[in-house]
Amino acid sequence: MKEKIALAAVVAVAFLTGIFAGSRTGIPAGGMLTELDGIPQLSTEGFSKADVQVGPLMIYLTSGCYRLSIITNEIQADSIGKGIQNITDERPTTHDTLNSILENFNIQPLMVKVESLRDGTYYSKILLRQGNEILNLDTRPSDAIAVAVRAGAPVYVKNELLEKAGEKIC
Amino acid sequence: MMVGIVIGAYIGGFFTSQTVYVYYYNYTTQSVPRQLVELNSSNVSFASITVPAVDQEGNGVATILDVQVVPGSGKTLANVDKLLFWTDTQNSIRTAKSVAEELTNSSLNDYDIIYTISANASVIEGPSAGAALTIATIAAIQKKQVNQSVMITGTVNHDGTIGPVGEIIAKATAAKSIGAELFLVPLSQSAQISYTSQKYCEKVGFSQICTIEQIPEKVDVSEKAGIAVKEVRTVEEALRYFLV
Repeated sequence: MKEKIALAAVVAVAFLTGIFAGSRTGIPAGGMLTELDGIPQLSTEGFSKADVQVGPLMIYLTSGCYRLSIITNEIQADSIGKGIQNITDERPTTHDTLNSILENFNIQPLMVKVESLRDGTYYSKILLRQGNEILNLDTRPSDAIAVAVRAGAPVYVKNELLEKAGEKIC
Repeated sequence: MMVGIVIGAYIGGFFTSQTVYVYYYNYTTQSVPRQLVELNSSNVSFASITVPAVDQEGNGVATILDVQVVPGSGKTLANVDKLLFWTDTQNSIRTAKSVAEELTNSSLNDYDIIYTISANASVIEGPSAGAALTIATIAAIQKKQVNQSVMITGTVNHDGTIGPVGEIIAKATAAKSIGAELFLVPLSQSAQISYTSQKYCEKVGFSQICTIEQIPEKVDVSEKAGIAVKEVRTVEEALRYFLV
């Protein structure tokens, strides 16, 4: 009987120690990060993280020695610029509203992946997460980037695209 | 007693039948008779062309464009009895007149051109009748008949080229429904790319990942609308099918 009590005590201490250690390392209960790591759509292999800048009617995505220039309209460029600078107008813009909706329904923008250029049009996807569900949504790069910069989500560009359509700057 | 009779007659009046006047307002639309200009008939020419259009509810409608050339002082007139002209339609009319003058090598300084557009819709917007306006103007100037089995959609540019328009399939379908056998469209518009949103999901461990993509689909306008479709680059090319 005494042996059983001792064994139970050891198991309980080990369990509590595990929970404490887990909480210190920031690993969510249920090992969520491990689950997300296994999802191919979230893999950034073959992609490079890019810095976002805007100019008049342009979005610049810079990664290493390459800069990708995407033509957009004034409203989109302005919205991205304000998102980068964390400026909110007197009235919320479309992207401000969208981000508020996402935030209030616990939908987290994970990343933007700019994947291809077809017939002069850039194609990208924004990955959104709500609990265990991931949405890989086909989105215009300007919209996706405007949402990402507000949410602090990274923007990735396919390496092949950077080399093919990007400008070498160093 | 007299007071009693008067009061009795007054009250009795409410129980007797009364004449009821019912006023009927006639809302039936009546066609406005066109005022004919009394001129020597040899100096007046007229052409009519049918253009398929899409109204604000997205329905295909037949638009009749009438062009009348009468002796005058070079004015461009629009008959707005039946339809509200939008600014872009007015621009198309000006371009159509200019291109028609150029292609027929004629000056319309001594003539007025009266454009009448009528449709089964209160308002038709969009410059897509530009090519048809030009063809009808040329037909009127040259006193030629317009082949009514052919219809066209497209904007007109100052150099006589025909520019792209939207909703080609709806217009081609409208053209067929109003009796066209051949539908002329701007260059590269005999096929239309439409996009449909597709969603597919998969389970990865405890997570579900869904992807939503816009899938392009190339639609052949002729097949979809069931009418012969031909691309034309310029007004001159289109005239070969219209003028008989």
